[in-house]
Amino acid sequence: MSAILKMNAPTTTAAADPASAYVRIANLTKKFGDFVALDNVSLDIRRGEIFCLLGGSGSGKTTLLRTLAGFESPTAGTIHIEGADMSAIPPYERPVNMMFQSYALFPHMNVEKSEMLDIVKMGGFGARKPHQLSGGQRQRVALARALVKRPKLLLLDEPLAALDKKLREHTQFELINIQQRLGVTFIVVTHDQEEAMTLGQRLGVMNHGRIAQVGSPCDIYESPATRFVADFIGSVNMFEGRVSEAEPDGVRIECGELACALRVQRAVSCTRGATVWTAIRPEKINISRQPPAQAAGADNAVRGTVREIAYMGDLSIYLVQIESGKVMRVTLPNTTRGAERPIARQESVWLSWHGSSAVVLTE
Amino acid sequence: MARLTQAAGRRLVAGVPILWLLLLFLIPFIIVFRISFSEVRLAIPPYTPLISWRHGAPSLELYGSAYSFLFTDPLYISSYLYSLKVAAVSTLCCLCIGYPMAYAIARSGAASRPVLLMLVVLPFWTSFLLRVYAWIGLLKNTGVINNALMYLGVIHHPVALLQTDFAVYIGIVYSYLPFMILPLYANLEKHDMALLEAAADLGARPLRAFLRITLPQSFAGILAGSLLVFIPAVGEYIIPTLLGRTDQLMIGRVLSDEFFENRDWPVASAVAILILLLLVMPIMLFQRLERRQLEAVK
Repeated sequence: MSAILKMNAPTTTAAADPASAYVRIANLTKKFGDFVALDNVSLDIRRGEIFCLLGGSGSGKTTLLRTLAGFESPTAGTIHIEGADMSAIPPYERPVNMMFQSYALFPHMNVEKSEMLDIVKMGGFGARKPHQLSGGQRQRVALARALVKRPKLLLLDEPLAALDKKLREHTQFELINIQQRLGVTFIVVTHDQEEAMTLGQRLGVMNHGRIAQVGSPCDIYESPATRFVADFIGSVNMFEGRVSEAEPDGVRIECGELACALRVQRAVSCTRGATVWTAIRPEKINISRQPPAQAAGADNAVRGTVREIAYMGDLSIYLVQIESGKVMRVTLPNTTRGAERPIARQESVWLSWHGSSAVVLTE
Repeated sequence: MARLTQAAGRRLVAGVPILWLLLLFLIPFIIVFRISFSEVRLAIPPYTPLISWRHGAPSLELYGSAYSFLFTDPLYISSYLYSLKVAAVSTLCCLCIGYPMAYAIARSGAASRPVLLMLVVLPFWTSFLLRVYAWIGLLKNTGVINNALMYLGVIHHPVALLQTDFAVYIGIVYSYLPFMILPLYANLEKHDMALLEAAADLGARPLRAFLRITLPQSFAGILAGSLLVFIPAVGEYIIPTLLGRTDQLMIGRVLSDEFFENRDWPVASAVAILILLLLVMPIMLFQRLERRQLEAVK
């Protein structure tokens, strides 16, 4: 029952409460010649939240941001901010500021003094010109400049993309901190899913100019709505199969790629005989030398041979070839320093997972 | 071995232009400089030698009379000032006409840009002299412009257009406009459009964004274009001779007259040296400003 609620929650709550829609994007379409950059996008952004638009290159996320800023005019559809139609409002009159991916700092101007510089911890740098700053400092100045007019809505285009990994992680938390102190609504465009999941209270995954799914990071990761989302966020083992039994609390799926039947203990709206895809995250799979409790021939357990092991430090990735020939990806955290007898390559192992760990996707 | 030939190659590449400048600029300059400190005489060559033998001893003969003459006869001072005025006004006109054109070309579509640039350069395909002559046909009392205005009834007597300052400005602006447009285009075309978006985002209307972002950033282009127009305009000879006033000469004409009509080589050389001094200073200023701009961009 809880699974049903969870799966429905992200798509309904935002639309059900119009008062919470601070930014309302309705049926927005943007075409560049024949290319459809935005395809009938509808999206509500709540006041004071950090909303991350996540997608690959060409997914339309940057076009959506630029349309919000007013740099692109939509081919069709509307944008309302606090109930005001933005269609005829030029960029210089919108209650919106943007932090550009390139930072777009004016090379011939000084940073200038501003209280915002203190907020981004750049207080003493007012006399500098952009070329006298490091990459991280430029990023801070760009953020301060975007905040200086105290916008209610701040658009951030890949704000951390130009920073190195360590600095990026540190800056992520700082961004959240600043956002909470100032109470600004953030819309962040990023191609980096980790960044999106750390920053965003809600994510919108975009694909081919459409919003594929909107939800909390947990919703998106644990309950992806489509194969694209499941595959795009994190890694996943995907099996095509046919529904053999549809029960109120779950389904049984026959799958040619697996030696076992799949039993998924989640409510799925599908009929017997329908073709579905089952997605299982690598970290939700157990790997063992001994047959699992459910034993051979049981559901959700399969034999295989370890083909590759990638030691990543905090976790290890195992590529296991199951009997059908398909290779499954399994990750295990390295909870102890040097296990006594670690699983080695070419070893024969059992893979098993809990019935509630898999997700059934119909599209 | 490879490094040796590479070093030799590098020296050769740098050496050719240096040799070129040495032979065709520095040596002629020294010769002109030296002639400017001699006196005119009826001989071949028509000036006093640098070293003369007097009582069996060599003596250096340097005269400042050519320079002092330039400052005593008001003709030269007024020609200098007139040339500077004509060049400055023409440069300003070129800037006012050329900047919007360069801006429009730089902001036009990628497909139409080469065509528009081609149109800017197209006049160079006809002889410069011919194009200036063509302006006589347009501007003279019985020319196209006067005839058209009289036919339309706007005027009843021909307006004197030729042999006026106006004609000189038209000639110079027309001839040198591409030299203003091309460096401005090269500059404006490189501008980062995100900066203008950022300006708009921060609340600047288009005019303010232009004045605070585009204009200051195109400063190097304005300077380059202005110098490319101003420097040749100061010494311009053909345009004022064909289109300009007869009662007020530009310095290029004065130089030519001294040389060919009066055969006064020392005075002609002194005029040339003073033009050069007048022009070298803005060039040096330009290079200093450009260096500062480059440092700022880095």
